[in-house]
Amino acid sequence: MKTFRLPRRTLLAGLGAGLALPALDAMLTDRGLVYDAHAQAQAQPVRFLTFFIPNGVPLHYPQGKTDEYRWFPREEGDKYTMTMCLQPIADYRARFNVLNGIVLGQSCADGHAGGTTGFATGLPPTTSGAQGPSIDQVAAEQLGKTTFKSLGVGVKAIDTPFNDFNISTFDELSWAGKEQPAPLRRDPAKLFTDLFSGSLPDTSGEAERRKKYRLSVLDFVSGDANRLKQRLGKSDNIRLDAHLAAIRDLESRVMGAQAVTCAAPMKSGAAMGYVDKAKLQAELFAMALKCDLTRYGAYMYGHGGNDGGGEDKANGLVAVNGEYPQQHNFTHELADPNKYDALFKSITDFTLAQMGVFKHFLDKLQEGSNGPDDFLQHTLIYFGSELGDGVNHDNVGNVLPILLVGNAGGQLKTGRHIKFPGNVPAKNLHLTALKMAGVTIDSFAGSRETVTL
Amino acid sequence: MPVRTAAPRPAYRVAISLVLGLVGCNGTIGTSSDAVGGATPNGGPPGSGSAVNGAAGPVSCTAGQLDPGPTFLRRLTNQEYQATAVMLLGDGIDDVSADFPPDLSAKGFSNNSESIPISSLHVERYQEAAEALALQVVSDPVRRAKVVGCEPAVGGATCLTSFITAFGQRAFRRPLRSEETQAFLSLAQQASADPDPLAGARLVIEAALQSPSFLFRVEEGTTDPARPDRVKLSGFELATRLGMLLLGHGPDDALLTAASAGKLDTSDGIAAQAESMLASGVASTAMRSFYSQWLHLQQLDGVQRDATANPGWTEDLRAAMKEETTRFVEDFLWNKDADVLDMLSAKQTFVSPTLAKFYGVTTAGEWSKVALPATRIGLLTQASILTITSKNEAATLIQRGKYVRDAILCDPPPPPPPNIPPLMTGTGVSAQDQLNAHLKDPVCASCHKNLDPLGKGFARFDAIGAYHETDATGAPISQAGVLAGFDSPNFDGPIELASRLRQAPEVPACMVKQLFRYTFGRSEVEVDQCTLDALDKSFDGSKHSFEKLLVAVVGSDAFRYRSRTDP
Repeated sequence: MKTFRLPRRTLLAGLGAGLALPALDAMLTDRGLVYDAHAQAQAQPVRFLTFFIPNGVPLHYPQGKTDEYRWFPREEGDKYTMTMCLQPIADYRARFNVLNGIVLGQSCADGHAGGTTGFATGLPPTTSGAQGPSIDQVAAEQLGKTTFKSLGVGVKAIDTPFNDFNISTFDELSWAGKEQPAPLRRDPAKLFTDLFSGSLPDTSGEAERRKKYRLSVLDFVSGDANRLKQRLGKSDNIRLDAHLAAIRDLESRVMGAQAVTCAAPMKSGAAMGYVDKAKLQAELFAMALKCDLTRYGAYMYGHGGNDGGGEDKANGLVAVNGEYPQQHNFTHELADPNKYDALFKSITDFTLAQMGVFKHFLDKLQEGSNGPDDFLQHTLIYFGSELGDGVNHDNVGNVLPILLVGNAGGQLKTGRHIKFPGNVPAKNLHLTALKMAGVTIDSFAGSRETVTL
Repeated sequence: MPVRTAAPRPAYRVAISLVLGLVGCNGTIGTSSDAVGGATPNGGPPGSGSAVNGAAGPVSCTAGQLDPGPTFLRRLTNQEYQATAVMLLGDGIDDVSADFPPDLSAKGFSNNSESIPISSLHVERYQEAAEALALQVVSDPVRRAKVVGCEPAVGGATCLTSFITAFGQRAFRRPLRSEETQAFLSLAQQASADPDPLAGARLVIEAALQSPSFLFRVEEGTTDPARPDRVKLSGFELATRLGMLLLGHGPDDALLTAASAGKLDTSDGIAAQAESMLASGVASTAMRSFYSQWLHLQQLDGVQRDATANPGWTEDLRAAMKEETTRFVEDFLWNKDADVLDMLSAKQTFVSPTLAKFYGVTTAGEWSKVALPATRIGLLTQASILTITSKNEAATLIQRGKYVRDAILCDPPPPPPPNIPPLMTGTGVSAQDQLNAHLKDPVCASCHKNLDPLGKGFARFDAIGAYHETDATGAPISQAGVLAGFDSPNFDGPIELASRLRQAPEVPACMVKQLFRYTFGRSEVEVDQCTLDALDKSFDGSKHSFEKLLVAVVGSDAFRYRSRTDP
């Protein structure tokens, strides 16, 4: 294996300058590189994300009908026939693996809550929330060094609870730890401001002074937390420690604040439907990654149990028998043989709309980066849903529609449909993905087993 | 609205997602026999004991020695933050809390300590909020004069010190310790070279609003020599509890003065303070947060209804529904002579002309009290409640049964099981067919016997609470239901159901429990049974006066003490 020949100093200078990624590509591709994946992984860290769609996917049409294989392909390996639901991302078929056989393998009294919270934590929640951190947060905690240590992006506003489960088990995807959600940013206008106006744009005296003041204020706040810690007991200090950790994040952001070197996307003020909002959020998330404002994060399209935003003809979501399209309820009403075909088409349309958003996200990530060292080469996306087939709420054996997208710095060979001989617990795949992301870790969610991909 | 003889469309459709299996009732469903093995259906706040269940064992209760139960470091809710900021900085400040991550509800209330942790995003938003508010204060001479109290440009360090002392006490809800005053002063002095003489005061406001002493309800207390397992809260800490409960924000100057004069050091003193606050009417705004969450009223804002399928549905009607219940409930809560249980059996309500037309009653004008038609009674047949217990343009028996079990009886069903078997739906399947299907299968029936037959009492009300005596086919709609688990469970219609519920001891006990959860920001645990029993007794003794219940709550040991936590 050839080693990477670009002078290390040049590369670091490139990284240090706020990472104008296309420029880096040029440096590397000018030399027609075949490079050492490990050295490269160290030099240019893997961007590691989760991407969640709700309510499962239409796995199979009843046997004997056309388009029987709607999600998982019929054939294994790299010569599979593209399926209907993967068609929107068919352009990227060489850059992802379809994993067939991943199950949560844990039961929960509510299938949506269990599947959503377990999606990236590998553990079933209690009614109070997740029981451990999610993979994006584990990576961010260990490796996050950018302006945003991690970035969670959502689309849907928070619901009121349906049952005894804390609504965070449906509406949050990213968890800093047991019962500690890392709330998603759900408002595009605010997200835009957070990303592209928050960092200080100039180095005038006033800006420098504000930066100094912010650090002084945060010093005071840490001081207050530390004084309180000495006076309060152990259980109170858990919350104070969480507060202190968050203050340290903010401190490093203030210290590292610098002008954003890449172009900010245009901010849209127009009222938009659900799918378009999801696209805009995905685009902002992609820009944050491209600008190296963050390297770790989570994207949540919506939660299982919600209807998906109503009619949206431009995005293929149309009324069924006079009722507005509803992803969640329709999956349940499939039991009615008279309605089956129409409802199955509608829930397929939902999945297609969601895959369209994912395609948009991938397009934005790849924009302006080509060749063997493009953005996806250094990215790993853990894509999936809380359920396999939306009507089956069993978190134990329901095979999940998981994709691994991107090449994790050359560690992952993509383009394949991988069918496992038996069911594989998601936590094993979580551990595998974390290792590929460069995290030093021996076990995750109690698992020490990795998956051979 | 006159009684129609036929509904415009089949009014009932069962959302299978709500079909409940045996989980938590008595058995399992499907093939996964360990269906609930991984979950803790009654999980409380971090580190809490098991939640009280119906079969809680006897706990020894000695009067005056009650165990206060676990207490957690509570972050201000977004609502409390905003209201406290208004109190500190004056009316008209920006609604900064709108950008905070939403508080997530648990056990019905968004102030539950288990659902309001702090995250990096919170801290980021608190910084933005504090900076925006501080700037707003120093930019406005009138506001600045009120908040800062002097001109730092003129008064120098003396002005800063007096501002820090006064503002610090109001923000931290207790007098500052000397090292805190010193820390604020050194922070302010870092801006001494700033051309803006207000820069220092601005930093003090920014720092105070981001400090854990402001953002959390810190309760240090002092050890009770007689009971080393618990600590007695200081007068200032109790002023905070009183303020948050009755004012919806941190203690105002009156409460801080009472605390500093030692007036909150005894149970009687706190009760007297609460009584005088209640007498002045200040609590009615803050307590809206309690009852609108208890009765799920805020869900009305999110309801979607199609006006074609639901004739009469307008935004005006939605607003009127909410206003009716607000007026109705407050009429009971703040009327000294009212028995709040009569909310279930009241024969009167408040209507606007829109609502009067909808109910088919006449009214003298905007929001007058009128007699209900003979088909309706009390809270549970109000259009608001009937609407929020319907789904997707169809009324559901399950939802209505679940509502009564959850909000009124504190006996909510467990969540749906992982594997739900297909159920009959579709055209030609009546609500009765579906009910029968739920009750025929013993697996389904173990939970559904508590829900659908109870909800059937409201079968004549559609998805926006309009009344119909017959269904789409012209057949009369039966409203004969069963209140499973009660003596003489069979009833016919909402009037009989209301009279059963009005007599049931579970109802006042549930109301006490809901107020307990809201007041303490947590689920009840086993040791709380003593406190709850004592409150139940006092509530019954007062003929269910809400004000007296509030006074009893704030005078209880659970309010005045907290469990000691390990150092």
